[in-house]
Amino acid sequence: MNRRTLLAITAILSILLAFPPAGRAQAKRIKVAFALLWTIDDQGWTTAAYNGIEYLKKQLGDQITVSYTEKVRAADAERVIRGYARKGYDIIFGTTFEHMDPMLMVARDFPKTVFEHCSGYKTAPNMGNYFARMYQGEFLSGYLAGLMGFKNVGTVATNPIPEPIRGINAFTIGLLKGLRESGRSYDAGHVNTVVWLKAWRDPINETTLAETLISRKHDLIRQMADTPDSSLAACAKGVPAIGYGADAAKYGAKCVLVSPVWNWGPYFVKVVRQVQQHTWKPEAYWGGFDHHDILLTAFNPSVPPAVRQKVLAQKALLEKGIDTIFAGPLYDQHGKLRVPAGSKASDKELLTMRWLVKGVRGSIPD
Amino acid sequence: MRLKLEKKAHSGLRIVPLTLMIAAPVLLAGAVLFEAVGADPLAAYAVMLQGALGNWFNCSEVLVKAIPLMLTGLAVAVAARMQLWNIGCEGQLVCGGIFAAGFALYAADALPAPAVIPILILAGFAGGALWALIPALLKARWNVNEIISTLMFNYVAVILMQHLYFGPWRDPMGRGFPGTAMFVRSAWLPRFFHTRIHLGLFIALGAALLLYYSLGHTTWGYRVTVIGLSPQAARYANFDAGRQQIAVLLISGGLAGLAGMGEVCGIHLRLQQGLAVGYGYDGIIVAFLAYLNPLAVPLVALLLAGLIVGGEQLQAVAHLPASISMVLEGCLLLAILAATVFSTHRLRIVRDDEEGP
Repeated sequence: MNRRTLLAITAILSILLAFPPAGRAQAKRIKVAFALLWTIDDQGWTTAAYNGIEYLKKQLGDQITVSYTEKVRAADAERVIRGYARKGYDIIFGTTFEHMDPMLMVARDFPKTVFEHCSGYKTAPNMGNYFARMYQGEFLSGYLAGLMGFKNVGTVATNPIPEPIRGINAFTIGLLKGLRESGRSYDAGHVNTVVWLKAWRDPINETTLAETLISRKHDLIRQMADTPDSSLAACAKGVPAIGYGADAAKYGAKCVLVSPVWNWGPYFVKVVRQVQQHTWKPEAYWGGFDHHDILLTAFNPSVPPAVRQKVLAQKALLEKGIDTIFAGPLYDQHGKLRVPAGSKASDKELLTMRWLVKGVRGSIPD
Repeated sequence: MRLKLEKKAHSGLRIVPLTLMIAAPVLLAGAVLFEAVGADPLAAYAVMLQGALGNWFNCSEVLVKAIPLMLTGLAVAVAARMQLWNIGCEGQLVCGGIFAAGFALYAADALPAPAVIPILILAGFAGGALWALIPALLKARWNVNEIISTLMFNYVAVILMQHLYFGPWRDPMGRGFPGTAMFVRSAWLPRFFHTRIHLGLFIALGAALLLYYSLGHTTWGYRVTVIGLSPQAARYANFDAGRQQIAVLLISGGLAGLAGMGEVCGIHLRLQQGLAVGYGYDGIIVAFLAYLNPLAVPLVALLLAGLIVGGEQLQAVAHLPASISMVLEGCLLLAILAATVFSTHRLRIVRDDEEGP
């Protein structure tokens, strides 16, 4: 090789290095995959996740490729997640608790892939977890019910584990606050009766339990299941209801006063942007109204303006990050002081909560 | 004019026309379905095929999915050979899982490591068999309909399992979430070839061979068949039908229990939600598609597993609804039933003035 050839090659190489091909300058198209618990039209949990996916597509559609798989149960989770990882997806979301350990196993084998798991508690160098402070929305809907004078609520609760327990407590705390401010008389020992489905969704039992509660003269039905059937049952019997998770009014429950709903879209967008900019780090993310991870739906026309104003004022505080819902003094059903005055339940206490606040009737089965 | 189903003079199942009779309508129905949702049928089938057999990982996952289907298929088949309808495989599967989980959680630590897996296998079998014992006794003793009793026991098993992982067996470190702690390593069924294929596959294949041999080539198998086909003849031959009914239902339950053990100790590695997802009921389809032949059960289980795993890719790759593979599964079942009928019968148009035979 003579000197001129060497010079020419050097010149060409340096030009190539200085001006990389046009395609390289553009950000790489990020491939995002979602493992979903059920079908995207389940009118609850998975619909909420799907709404987040739609939001993500709308925001970043031209920069990303999105795929999802429905009905990913525990035994299938590892296959589905590993399948996406093998196909070179950059970010994989596992959207239900059962996906946690399978995802952790796959994450070990694909250190360059980003994994995000919803509603669990384990993390890894390439796996974060995320959840939303739904209890804030539950507190607000309880507050609304209290302000409107409902003092004998019947709740169709789901699984007797910390998340719903926390939600029942927050709702009851809000309910008592609302009743106090409404100036009506009520029995502070029981304003909210809880019955358990022991499932996240079970439309037949939701209907049966709601109807049983109505026949026992409860004045408001609170839905906690992923499906709107307890609210639908209440509407059919002419009793108002509070929705949950997704907008129950949209699925026919016109009597629903308000539904606190999951709003995953902003978080999905945030994660994708961080991965694009190489700033993603695994964290245990738990946002609420302050990051719009949950929302309140539009109020039912029957909710008086004064009540709306008070609820929105509380919401504004939460949006500013001021969350005093679990501030002491808080007593459990048996009168035991659980959170002393002047302090506030920590996130760890909230995440492991296994007691019911004073005002709840019913117990935690095991 | 009316249609009449007549028995053919020469009936028999020839494999090539039979396969065609089954495959053609299923593929055609699938094609119509894909067209209806706006997908190219050929491309969709290619995605499914690729999803099921496209590479070693996909193939291995088909095998993994087939393991519980093989075992519940065998469970239904062995009972049906005696005209017993075990609809309770789901509950027996769950109970096998519970037993295996119990040993894995509370005894595996205290046992020498090589003894753990054999004990888990025995526990799984025993759990399933135990769950079939009461319906079996009721059947043998008072002729209580086993379809109803085994079915009812499914619900009880699921509630019992929920009680355990929500309550006394809940992982103390699990922040209150449902599910037991993960088992110690010695209680994980060995996996092979760097995939999720676990020991359960070889247990299932072994069980298929054993059942094929014992049903077809032993006096016990002969008795079972005779009791099933003709209780009177069995009584005449002085076979103790009650005892055989109990034995067969216990074996059936035990096989389903092994399926639960395999899922719990080979896949979930803990007892948790998502164990009772219908393998027990799928077993009924597998058994009947296999014409109750233990050697055909693994093949049918593989076919069904391929459909499920391949169908999953329809969604991930072609963005079609996940339920399409279930529709195809239904078409397959109908086509096989129809093929069975038409291989022994034929359809004839009969005029009203014609005298029936």
